[in-house]
Amino acid sequence: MDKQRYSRHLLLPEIGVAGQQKLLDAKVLVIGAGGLGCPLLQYLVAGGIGHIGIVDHDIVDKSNLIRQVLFGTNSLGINKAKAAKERLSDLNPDVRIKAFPSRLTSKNALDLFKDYDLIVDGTDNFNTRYLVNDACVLTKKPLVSGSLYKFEGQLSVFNFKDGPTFRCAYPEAPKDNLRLSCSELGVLGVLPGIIGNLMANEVLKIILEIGEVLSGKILIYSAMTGQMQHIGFPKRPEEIAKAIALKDSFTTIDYHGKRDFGQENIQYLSVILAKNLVAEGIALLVDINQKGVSVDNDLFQNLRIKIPFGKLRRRMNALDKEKTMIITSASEVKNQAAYRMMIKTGFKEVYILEKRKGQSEFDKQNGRKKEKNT
Amino acid sequence: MIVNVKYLGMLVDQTGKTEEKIVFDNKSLADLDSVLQGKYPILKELPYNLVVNHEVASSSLELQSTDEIALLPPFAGG
Repeated sequence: MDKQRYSRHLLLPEIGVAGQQKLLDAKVLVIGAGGLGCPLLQYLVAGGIGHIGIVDHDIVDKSNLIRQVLFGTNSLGINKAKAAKERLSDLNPDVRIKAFPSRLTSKNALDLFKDYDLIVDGTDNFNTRYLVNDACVLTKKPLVSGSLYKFEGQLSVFNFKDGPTFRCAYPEAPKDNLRLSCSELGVLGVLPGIIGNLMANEVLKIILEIGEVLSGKILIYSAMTGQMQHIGFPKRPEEIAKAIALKDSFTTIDYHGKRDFGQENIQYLSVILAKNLVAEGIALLVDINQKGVSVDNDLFQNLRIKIPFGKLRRRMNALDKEKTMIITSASEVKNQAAYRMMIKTGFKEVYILEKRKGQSEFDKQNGRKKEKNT
Repeated sequence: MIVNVKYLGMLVDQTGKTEEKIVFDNKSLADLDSVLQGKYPILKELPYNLVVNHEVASSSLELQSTDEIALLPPFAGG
């Protein structure tokens, strides 16, 4: 043990060498390396939690930097789990960090959770929160959970020593059309720092077996008033039973559901971000141009898969639905049709590649010329 | 009876208030809830916990005018 690094912990009789060794032996899985994940990871790693897994499929965007304090300008366009690992490895080389740059789904959750003592939820949507809860119930792992809304934060420890779970506190999620995220609503930049640090504190207490763990209570913090309060809530066996009932079918459940096309919001991705995602193996570029029409740039020459639009419906089933798909072709109409087709078929993350400036004119002429030829 | 009701999270946006005094006839938490849902119909669409004196309470609870009441919805941001 590096006694100099951990000296301030070793001085505390509540921790000492034995406590620090517990931290060094602990295995913690953090879901989401965003606003909450970044600050809490800093303290878990600095404090010497020996084994840490980080799950995040997202990439660093400039709008994240106001609160996701592990990332700098050089991290833009890089996967968050990988960028966090890079920064954290320098912070404390004692810690073994594994980055999982993929989306948490019912297919991979149980296998991932099995290898850790404790799960931390810093995700940004209700679907993943129910998924994380149910997977924790099924694998019998305590769950440290934090969440935010504009200027307020919540925090609780669920499924701790047979205590109440997330479903006991919140049996129901808001309907899809009444859900908004930080990216749509905004959030005070320092708030995830406050809640994330409180989450790290709960993690340390659980591992050290000291103090009073925030089980059966929700802590609410208001950044506007500076007030903190605890709200007690009961265990609801019928809600825990719902998660246990999923035992045999869990991996087939689609927690992320189908998207609502009443309010279609097609997602586009810039060439630079697409290039990063493809190079990291997170995304696949699907070129749906007809045979003979080439993709607009050479960046992707060896990394794209070519499926002409007419054959997409039949051939897309061979593709991995968990992987991010980026559609490109000369025709925006076909891009959008392919986008809808893939979303409806169950692909989790689909984008259309943005055109470069001046590219669309070239595409139009090129596409039209080729279409005549075929 | 007059009680003070606090709103949390998205309910602040939906009601336009952080707290307010509510006057209602009966005594149970269920009665208060239906008065609130009449005043703010969007509450029928949203899940929330009824909190009395810092504990999630069942709707059959009889209220006192000194009770601290809050409506707590889930948050999802991270």
